[in-house]
Amino acid sequence: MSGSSRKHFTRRDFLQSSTALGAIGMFAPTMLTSAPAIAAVENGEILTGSHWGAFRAIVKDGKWIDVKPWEGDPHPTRMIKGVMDSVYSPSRIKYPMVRRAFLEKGPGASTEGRGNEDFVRVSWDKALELVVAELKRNKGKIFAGSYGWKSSGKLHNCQSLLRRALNVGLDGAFVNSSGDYSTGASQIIMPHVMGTLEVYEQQTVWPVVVESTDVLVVWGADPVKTNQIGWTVADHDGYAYMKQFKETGKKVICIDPIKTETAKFFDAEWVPIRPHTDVAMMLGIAHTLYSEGLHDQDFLDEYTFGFDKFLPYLTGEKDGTPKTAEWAAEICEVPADQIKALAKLFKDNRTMLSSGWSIQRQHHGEQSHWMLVTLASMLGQIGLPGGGFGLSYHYANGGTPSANSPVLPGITDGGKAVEGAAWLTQAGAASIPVSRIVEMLEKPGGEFDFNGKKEKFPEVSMVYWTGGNPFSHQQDRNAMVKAWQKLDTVVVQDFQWTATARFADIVLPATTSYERNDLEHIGDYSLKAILAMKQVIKPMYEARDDFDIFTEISDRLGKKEAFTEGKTEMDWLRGFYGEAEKQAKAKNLTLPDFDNFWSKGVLEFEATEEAKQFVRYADFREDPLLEPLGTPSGKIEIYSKNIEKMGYDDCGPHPMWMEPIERLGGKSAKYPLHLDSAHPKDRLHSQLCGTNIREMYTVAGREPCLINAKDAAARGIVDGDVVRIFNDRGQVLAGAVISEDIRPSVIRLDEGAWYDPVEGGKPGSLDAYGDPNCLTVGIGTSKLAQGNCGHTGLVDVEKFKGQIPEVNVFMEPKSA
Amino acid sequence: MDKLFQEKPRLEVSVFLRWLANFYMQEITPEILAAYQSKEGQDFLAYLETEESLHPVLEDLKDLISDHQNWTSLTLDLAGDYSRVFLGAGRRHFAPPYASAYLSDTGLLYQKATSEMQSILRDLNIGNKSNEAEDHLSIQLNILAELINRSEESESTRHAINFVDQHLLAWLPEFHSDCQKLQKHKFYGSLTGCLIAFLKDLSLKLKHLAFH
Repeated sequence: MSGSSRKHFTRRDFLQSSTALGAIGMFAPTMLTSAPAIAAVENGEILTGSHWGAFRAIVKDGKWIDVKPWEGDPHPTRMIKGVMDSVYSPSRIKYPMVRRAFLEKGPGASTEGRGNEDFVRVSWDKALELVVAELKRNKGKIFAGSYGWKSSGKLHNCQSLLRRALNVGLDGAFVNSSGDYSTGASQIIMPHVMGTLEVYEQQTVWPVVVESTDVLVVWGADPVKTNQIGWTVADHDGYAYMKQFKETGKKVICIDPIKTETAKFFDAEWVPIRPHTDVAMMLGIAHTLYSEGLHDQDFLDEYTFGFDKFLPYLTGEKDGTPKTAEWAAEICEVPADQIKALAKLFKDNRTMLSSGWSIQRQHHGEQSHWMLVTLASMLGQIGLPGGGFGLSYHYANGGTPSANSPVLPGITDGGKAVEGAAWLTQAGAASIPVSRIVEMLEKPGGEFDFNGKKEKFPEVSMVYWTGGNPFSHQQDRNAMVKAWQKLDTVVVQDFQWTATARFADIVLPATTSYERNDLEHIGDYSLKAILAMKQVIKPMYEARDDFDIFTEISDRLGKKEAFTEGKTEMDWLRGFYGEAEKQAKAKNLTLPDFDNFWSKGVLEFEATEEAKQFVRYADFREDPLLEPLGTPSGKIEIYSKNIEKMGYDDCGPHPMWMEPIERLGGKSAKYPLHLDSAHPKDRLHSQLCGTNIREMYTVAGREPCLINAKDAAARGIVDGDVVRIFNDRGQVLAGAVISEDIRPSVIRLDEGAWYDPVEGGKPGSLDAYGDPNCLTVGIGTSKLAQGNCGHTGLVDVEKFKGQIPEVNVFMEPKSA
Repeated sequence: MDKLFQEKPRLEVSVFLRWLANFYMQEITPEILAAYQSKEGQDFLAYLETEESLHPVLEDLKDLISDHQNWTSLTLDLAGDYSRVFLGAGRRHFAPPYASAYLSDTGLLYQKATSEMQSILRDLNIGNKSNEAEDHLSIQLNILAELINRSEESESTRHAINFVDQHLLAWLPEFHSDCQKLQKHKFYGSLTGCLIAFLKDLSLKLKHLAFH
């Protein structure tokens, strides 16, 4: 076009021309409508819930403006504020996006550019066309074993919905995962030892502990910190009981390299053990018990199997090394006298050995809880009120008495459920232990051992991840960055730009739970209420519910009816509630009808008197013949013939001390400090890292790194310094916090810090924010469980010199 | 008022505003470039050229239109800029085209500016038909277009002046500088520069009209 040829053109000419209307409609359309907008709710308070607890969202003019905890929450967490922030955060994924190279050149195009290259926006139609074409093309080679803390809710369970869509639409031809990152080792070893998963089950309840426990041992756990969250909707009922226990003045002992929140709350005796050596310390206590005749031989005879086979190992008769307190002290750096004193203290008192999961999230992690059970067996208090062991007092308020509540079903993925853990299923044509994903990509067709079976890593060319952030929870980040490049296609469905979304080809925007309706329990263990999780605000931007997204994918695969069963969101919720009504009838409870319940928003249940007196394994203790355990012998298996038959070199038939691949004081230790990647205080793993509550803890804009004063002084590091933490696997920056709350030679960098490579997509890049999994080892715990080793890793730390790179992972609206 | 709008009729101002608004709402596609080559498109471009403040971005647009061999990659270049600069795809620093992001202390979206726009829409008895927040720049420009359309009364004129100064020019210079810093190609920086020039000119003229 030439302007000069039209120089006599006037505006009025144009506006009066016949072409004007069409042109304006095309090039300058109006975005307004004569119909005023209608919000989900214009004004008021809406009760809903989350992993952080139930709360009331305060809505004004259709906008969520504030949040206040549900009045039934006895101990609300300050993280609640971050929940609202995450919804309005600039880091929301607003539209479907495709990596440019993928869009232009197709699957597998310049995969080394993932994590660095531009994305472009596409329509939902285009995005789903690409996704469905890739699902069909990669059928059988799709990893849909998404793991992570998907949002609370029985219907919008994105992981179940994904697998459901692939079950109905692709005949289940996908690769699934088994297990999880929390308890990978323990949930495999415990069924051999106790006949159940153990880690997620109800504990001897807190009222009994308060009444009967004399000595409460907290071994590698921080319940005051971690009970802020729950898998369903957190109830926070454990806090009142912890306070009651504290008020009794009874003894609490925290065995932990860190003086935890729990240790401070209880003013506990702190035993600053060397990390990774818990089994040695337990053996030292066990040896003391045995050598001083303090062990309960009657209990061992009646309720356990194989102590006689374990004994030669304990005494050293078998390997020439008696596992004495002195032997243990050398390894764990807890003085032998203290180990002996603890043995006597435990024996002379009703002792609850509570443990977290950190001590099994390490190389040979299977041994830790197996040895803890063995120790508890020698003390002979399992099944007595307030005695024995417990593996879930730190999780989701385990040990709070259960209410007589019906249990809501949820959307199913079409696979067989795993008893005791709602998030584990057996759908899919093939499956891998979840943390073996990098090995799977590195060695397709490669053989691996897993719990007595020889299996082969399936060939995978596509990953569809939803409700999780593997670029946070997977160990050995740089190995992962490299392995990820082997994939042709990566689809990530989320509501925010996590590190994983940045490493995707197709990114689909999902709603948060506050933009849709759902149902959930309050209290994983207490089951204290059924909550209507009502929609707070309209879906934002072009975000769609997980249920809608997978409905459309199923539709495009020709299986919509099978996927939805002809039901809408509210039909499903009514159906789940209907199931609860049926159970209630059997319990002689009367529930209000759905509409009344929905309008009220919450339905509370009381704990029964029986539940308030629950003692784990009391039945078994009472009658081991009529109430046998689910193990081959029906007893506690200190020796497992099944494991013996497996013949593994890294997991023997009874618990034993095995040198990990690296540890403080170990012969192969190349670096001088242990990296403790504990659960964060103000996040749920990586969730909420992208919100304003980060300001409460960052140092120099980075993840805080706790360093003992002695270690800091030796390196010229002062409070507030930017430090570089490094080993052969990676390097990260963090902000130094100098403290005496951590023992020397150990530093803490919490897991869940968002991965922030200075050079996106490049293995080995310096991480600017502080993701500890750049430094951890990626191997499995052993051939038995193949769990992750997130607590294994030696590092060094130095004051960072040179140009400090900017933190880039969090979205900020201005280029400041 | 009448004198001003003899020179710059209300409808024209609102068409210019909505034309500018559209670039912030959706990416330029080969289909749109083809449409500009049609008679309707050519007439529309000629019409736009009568507004001097728009010339820099029109030059950029004409360069794009003329390079039709490369439309696919050129539009993807700009779509990459759009996603990175406006949608923040995969990057920390971006220039979200929302008043809240620039006018609130927290930098969050859906802050006071959103409420203010919602309130203006309610007063006008109209709604936002997009999925975007009401303080998205495109919606703001559409609201201004509507105010100008209704500005026969002096009160509405004052309204429009306030709107330009307080709801747009209060943050657009900073937004413009971010666009320039973050873009790989010059289009969106150029567009925003033209938008600011157009609004400054409009503000002056409206003030002249209201106070003289």
